[in-house]
Amino acid sequence: MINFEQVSKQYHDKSALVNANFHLQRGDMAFLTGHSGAGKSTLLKLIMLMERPTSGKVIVDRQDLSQLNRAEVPAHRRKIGLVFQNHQLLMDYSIFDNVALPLKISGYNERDSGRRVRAALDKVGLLDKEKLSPQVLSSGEQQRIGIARAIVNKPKLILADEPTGNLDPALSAEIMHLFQQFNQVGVTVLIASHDLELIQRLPHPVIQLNQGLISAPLSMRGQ
Amino acid sequence: MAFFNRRPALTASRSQPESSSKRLLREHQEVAISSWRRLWQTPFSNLLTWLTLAIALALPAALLLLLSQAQHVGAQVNKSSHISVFLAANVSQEEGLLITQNLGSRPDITQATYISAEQALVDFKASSGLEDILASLTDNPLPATILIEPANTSLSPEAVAILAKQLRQQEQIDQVLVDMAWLDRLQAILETSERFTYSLALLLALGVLLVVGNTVRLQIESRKQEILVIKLLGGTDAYLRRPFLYAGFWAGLFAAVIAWIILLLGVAYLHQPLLSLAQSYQSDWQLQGLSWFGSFVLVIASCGLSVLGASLTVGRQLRLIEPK
Repeated sequence: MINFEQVSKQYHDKSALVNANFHLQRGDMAFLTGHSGAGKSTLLKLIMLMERPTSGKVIVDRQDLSQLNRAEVPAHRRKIGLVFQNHQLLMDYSIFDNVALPLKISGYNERDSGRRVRAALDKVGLLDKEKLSPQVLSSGEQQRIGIARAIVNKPKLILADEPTGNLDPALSAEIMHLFQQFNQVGVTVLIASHDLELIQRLPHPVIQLNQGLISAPLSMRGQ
Repeated sequence: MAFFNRRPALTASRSQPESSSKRLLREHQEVAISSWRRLWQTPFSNLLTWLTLAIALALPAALLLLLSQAQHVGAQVNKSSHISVFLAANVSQEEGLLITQNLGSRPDITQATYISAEQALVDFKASSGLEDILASLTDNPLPATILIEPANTSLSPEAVAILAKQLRQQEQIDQVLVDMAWLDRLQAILETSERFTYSLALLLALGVLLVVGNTVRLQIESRKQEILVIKLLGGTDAYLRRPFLYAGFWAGLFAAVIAWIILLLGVAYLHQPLLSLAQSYQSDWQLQGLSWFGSFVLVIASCGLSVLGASLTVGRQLRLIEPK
C-alpha cells in the first residue's frame, strides 16, 4: 500500500529524512515512532503530498506520487483518511457537518451523505451528538469525531498523526482499539506516535525513526 | 465490523447514480444557497461593501443616462436650426418665390419659407421695439429672406456647411447665415462629456474589481482554517473557489439593486428643475429613468464585474494557503 524507496527530504541545511526504505502491505497496521523532529511528520507529509521528496520514490496504492501534478493532488488525498493530533475540527460547523465534509467535497448527495455520516458517528459512539458544535465535546470525543471524518469516505488507507497526543492512557487505548477495528476489516493503517508504552502493548510492527534515518525497520513482534 | 463492508451499501440502498452534469448543477445550487446564507452572518459589513459597489456603479450609470438623453436633445436642437438666406437687393419678389420653390424641392431641404423684405420689416418692428426709428427710415434696409430647414439626413455640421456653401454660390443670394459655431460647440461638449463619462466608468469598474477582490481576500483570510482542512481532505481548487465566486455574484446583484434605487431617487430629485429648464427652451423633454434594458445591463455589468473581481483574487489567494 505504501512503498518508500531511498526517500530523502532536505529542508535547507537540515535532513528530515535520509534514504528511507519501507514497505507497508495492503491491510497492514503499523506504528511510526521516534522523538519529535525525527522525521515522522515529514514522512506523513510525503504520503499526503504536502511535501515532495528531495530524492527517491514514494508509491501509494500502486501510484508513483512523483507522477501526480498539482491538479491531481486532491484526488490522491481523497483516497486517504487523515487523523490529526489536534483533530482539526471546524468549530463553526456542527459535528454532522464536520464529518460530512469529505463527502461534500467528493460530491455526495444529501441522502447518501447523511446515511454514511450517521454510520461513521455510530461507529465512534457519538451518533446522538450530531447536531452539537464540536466545542462542547471533551478532547477524547473531539478526536473520535476526527476519526469519524477520516473514515466516512471509506478510505483504503488511514494515516494518523499523534492521534492520542492529548489524551490520557485510557482514552488513548480506546482510540487505538478503534484503529484496530478498522484494520480488521482490511483498511491499511499507519499511526505516528511517540507513546511507546502503548505501542509496545499492541501487536503491530513499528517503524522507528531517528534523526531522519529508519533505525528499526518493521519489526514483526507479535505477528 | 459492518461499517467498512462495501457490498451491502452498494447494492441495497445506493440511489441511482447521478450524471456528472446533474451533480455539478446540484453542487452549484448547494453553494449558491450556502453562500447566500453566509451573507446574513455579517449583514452590516456586507451592506457597506454593497453600498460602496453601488455608488461606484450608480455614478457612471447616472452620467451615461444623462448623456444619452442629452444627445437626444442635441439632435432636437440641431433639427430646429435654420439656415437664413438673404437675397440680393435686386431680386424681385417673383424671382424670390421661384428660388424658394426650387430650394424647397431639394432632397436635403425639408422646408424653405420666403419672407419678403416688407414682411421682414413688419416682424422686426414687432419684435425689436424700435418702431419709431424704423418708421423714420425712407427705405426698407432689410433684404428678402428665405428660411431653410435642412432635411433630417443632412443635420450634421458637415452636411449643413456643404449646403450653405452651395447656396452661397448662387448669384441671387447675397449672404447665408448658419450658426455653425453653436452647433460645433454643442457637438464638442457632448463628445467631451461622452469621453469623460467613459473614462470615469472605466476607472470605477476597476474600483469595483478592487473592492470585490479585497473583500474576497479578507473572506479567505477569515476562513483560512476551513480552507486548510478542505485542502487536506482533498478539496479541489474549483470546489474551494466556488463559494467565493458566488459571494462575488451576490455582492454584484445587491450592488446593482442598490445602484438602481439610487438612480431612481436621483432622477426623481432632478426631475422638476430639469423640466423647468427644458420648458424655458420650449422643449417638452423630460429626464427618463433607466429602461428595462438599461436595468438589465446594470445587473449584468455589476454581477459580471464582481465575479471577475472575485475570480482574479481567489485563485492567487488560495494558492497562498497550503497545508504545512
